Amino acid sequence: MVRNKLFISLLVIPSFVILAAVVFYPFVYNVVISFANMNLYKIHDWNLIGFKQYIKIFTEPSQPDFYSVLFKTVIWTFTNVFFHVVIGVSLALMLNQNLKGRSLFRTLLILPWAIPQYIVALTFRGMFNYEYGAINLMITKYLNVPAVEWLKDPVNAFVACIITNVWLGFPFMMVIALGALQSIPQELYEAADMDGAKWYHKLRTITLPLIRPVMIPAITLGVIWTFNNLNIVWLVSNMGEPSDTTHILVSYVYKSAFNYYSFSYAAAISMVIFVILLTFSLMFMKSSRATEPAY
Amino acid sequence: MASVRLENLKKTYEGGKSVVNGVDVTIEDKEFVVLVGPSGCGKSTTLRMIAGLEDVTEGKVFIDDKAVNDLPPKDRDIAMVFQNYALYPHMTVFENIAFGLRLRGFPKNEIEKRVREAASILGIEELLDRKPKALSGGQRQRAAIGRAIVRKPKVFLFDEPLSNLDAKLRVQMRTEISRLHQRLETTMIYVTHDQTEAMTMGDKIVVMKDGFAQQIAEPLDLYNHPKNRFVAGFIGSPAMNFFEGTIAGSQNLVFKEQQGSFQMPVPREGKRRLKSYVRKKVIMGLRPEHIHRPGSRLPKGAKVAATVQVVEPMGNEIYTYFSLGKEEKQYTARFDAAVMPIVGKRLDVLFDTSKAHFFNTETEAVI
Ligand SMILES: Nc1ncnc2c1ncn2[C@@H]1O[C@H](COP(=O)(O)OP(=O)(O)O)[C@@H](O)[C@H]1O
Ligand SMILES: [Mg+2]
Repeated sequence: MVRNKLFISLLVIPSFVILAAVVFYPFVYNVVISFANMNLYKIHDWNLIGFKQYIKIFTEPSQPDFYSVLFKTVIWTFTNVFFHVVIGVSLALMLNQNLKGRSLFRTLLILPWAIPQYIVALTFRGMFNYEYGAINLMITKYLNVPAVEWLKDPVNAFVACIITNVWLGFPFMMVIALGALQSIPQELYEAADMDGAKWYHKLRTITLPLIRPVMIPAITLGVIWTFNNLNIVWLVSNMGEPSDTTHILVSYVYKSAFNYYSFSYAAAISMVIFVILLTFSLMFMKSSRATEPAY
Repeated sequence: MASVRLENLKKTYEGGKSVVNGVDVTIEDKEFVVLVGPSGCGKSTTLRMIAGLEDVTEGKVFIDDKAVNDLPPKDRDIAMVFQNYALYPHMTVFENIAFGLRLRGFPKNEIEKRVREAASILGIEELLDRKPKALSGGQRQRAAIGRAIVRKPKVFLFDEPLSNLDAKLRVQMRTEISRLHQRLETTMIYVTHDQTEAMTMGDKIVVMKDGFAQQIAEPLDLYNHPKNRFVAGFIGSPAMNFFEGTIAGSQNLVFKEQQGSFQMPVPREGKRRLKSYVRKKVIMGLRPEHIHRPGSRLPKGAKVAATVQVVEPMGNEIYTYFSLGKEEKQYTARFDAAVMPIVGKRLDVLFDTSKAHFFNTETEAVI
């Protein structure tokens, strides 16, 4: 028994050490410096200053404005996840039909997800180029619309980031939804056929309720990932260009910390993000009763 | 109120797998017909073609003399009960039962009335507000049957509805479905692999194998006059014993078991038909209930020396497994529970020769 416990501890310790090093320690460190005044001038000799950084976030005007960044983050997250789910579930419904070449389509559609985000982001940045980008070339040639200044205008640049991230994110939802769809018993649809149900009845009364328990956790994850997705905004808009107008919270944190060296200020915003996401996840999972099984 | 007729019904799945190979059955109005056969013989496929859930490859399905091959399931006025109940998991029992009526645009009070009526027939009034996951297997199956009966369809289809229930509940639901049939007076087609269900419930039984209907008959007819070896072996439990041997004699024919373990006179009724089989191989079939203890009084008994191998006391009777001569093969007898045969001992059992069936070795058809 004692030997057994020792053995178990030996097995657990390595992963525990790694977790401690890469999760617990940075987290605690982050909490501590969010209450301090660490910056470029005070990298080593920082002091604790209480809630000053937090007060600064919520009360002092900044460039860009914290509330507008927060607002944009919410728009960013909502729009992205909305399209991820709608496109992903729709494609999953199509792939779940008995169509020819299904496995080919499935592989093709998972591709966006398999390519490193970094490469996708830079490729899209190229495609959004005003003069040579594929997107402007296409819309001017085929749609007869004037070319769009994708990356020079704050709104357009933000839209460009969203388009890129939608493209990157739908395969995840598609794969999850496909798995859920395939576990729905065929008998249910047949019973509905006998009852005289149309496709939209089946979608509403069978498909959606039955993929829900799987989609809710996936959506929660999707919200967290999207909310915290630094790469796309950072790379597509080239660090928040034009002039820090395309930031979402994480890119703003990153810029504050590593371009402006306001470490404590950035740490405090990180804590705000953490609290927002934690509250959201708990409330969303609870209100949607996601953990209840369908059967 | 409807009759169902299957005419040379065939089904070949994509990839050329031929599953139903020409079934002809007429199901009369108000009849309870059971399709029975081993798993994979095409029962469900046949039923699903009647329902319209599966395309017909060849042949015709008639409901009330109208060909329905091209009608979608909802327009066939048919209801089906599935093996796994197929209840909509997020709807209450009430909503499940009402669903088909709602889709068909029935007025609210009519729906309410019919659902309550169905629920009271099935004894599930108290469960109407529950979701399926809060029901036991038997309750779920009742709810599923409720969903079928509210629509008052012309024909009910059941696909192994009891196979997910435990043995006791299965027996109970069996009688309940039979009662339901008497009460509703509607045509019912019932699929099962269990010959006991078929025998106890069916007005008429279709025994299927390899996508063919082997025999279509009333239960007792199937039991007493099986058309071939498969039906003989499939119907009845424990299954019929089969002995290989030859027919000998000229005036009085006898069946000689091929290892020489026994011979027995051929019953008078069989003589005419077996005449042409003299000196040829045949298969003799005898049910376990037609093999008796030594000393039983039988008008026509043949004494056969057997060795008892296994005994299974069932309470009211004893299944006795025995072997003949040096053969490994075991045969079954059903004895009354009076005295327990002793394992390993020799026992002179009595074959009731008047109950013997003879089958052609090649075609396996009854002689
Ligand atoms: N969609 C299908 N595609 C190909 N083969 C099938 C399909 N459905 C059933 N089969 C095959 O058809 C045969 C008969 O199936 P079924 O009618 O379900 O038999 P059962 O008598 O057990 O109900 C089985 O061998 C099964 O594997
Ligand atoms: Mg079946």
